[in-house]
Amino acid sequence: MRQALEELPVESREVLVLHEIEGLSYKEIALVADIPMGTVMSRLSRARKRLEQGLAGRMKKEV
Amino acid sequence: MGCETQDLIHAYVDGELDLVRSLEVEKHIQNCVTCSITYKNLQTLRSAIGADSLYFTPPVNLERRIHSALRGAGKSEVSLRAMQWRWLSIPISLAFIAVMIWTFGPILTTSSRDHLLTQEIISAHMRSLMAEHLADVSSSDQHTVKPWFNGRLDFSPPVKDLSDQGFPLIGGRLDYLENRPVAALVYRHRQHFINLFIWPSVHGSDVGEKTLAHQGYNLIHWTKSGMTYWAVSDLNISELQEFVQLIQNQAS
Repeated sequence: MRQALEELPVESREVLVLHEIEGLSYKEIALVADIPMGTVMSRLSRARKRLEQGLAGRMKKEV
Repeated sequence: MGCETQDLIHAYVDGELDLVRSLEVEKHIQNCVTCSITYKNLQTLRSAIGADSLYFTPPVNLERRIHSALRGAGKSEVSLRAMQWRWLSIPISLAFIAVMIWTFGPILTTSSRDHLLTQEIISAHMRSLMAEHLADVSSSDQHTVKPWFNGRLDFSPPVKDLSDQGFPLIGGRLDYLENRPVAALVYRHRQHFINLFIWPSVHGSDVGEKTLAHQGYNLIHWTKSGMTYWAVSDLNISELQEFVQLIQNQAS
């Protein structure tokens, strides 16, 4: 998981870490990262999709 | 196959939707196969992130090591002379703060008190117009209005009808300002109402007129012969000043 996270682009990793690990709300992330709320939503959804794909790719390799 | 609701599922899972929208998405997920799969995948991913301890916890003694390193560095740099000056700076700072409070404190307190009172006066004026409660005693006869305050207030406000000058007395009522009951005299000029609030002054000495404009209302206040007066109206300032002049002339 850590490696899959590290492979994400910085923008995606930033919102994902702030939300999932630091527990910040969309509003708080928007404030911290200085981006609009809509961007927080789209970046988070993109980051999750990428993380999912990354994890799935790793699992395939392991198999 | 895409679904419009897909975009909202992340916000739904994160608890970022309002109640109505949240219930809509919840209902939708039960009926939409695509969204139901996305929802389940998202839940799995979130629990996987949560289960994997990604949060880096620093070693227990890290904080202590940083502090001791800082202390060591600080000691070598700070000379004894600098330490003496540092101790001296504390009383100097305190003295400076005391001087600032002594100088500006009363000014700030007075201005904020005036601001609060202005707000209170405008609210009382608006309340009297909105609630159609202009007067407890409706009369243009000063000999009816003035005695009405007897027993209701611990002072007797000067009351004068100014019908001949174009400002007929409508009546009087009790109001509450600055934590005390006050007299409110109501005058009319054309279609405009004027509330004149009167109460005994705390300081006693006469204070000249001060004019204020706030929220579209004009206010003039002054202190004379131990009484504080506040006139408030939506009347233009020159006519309100004319009214104040008349009140001052009849009071003297």
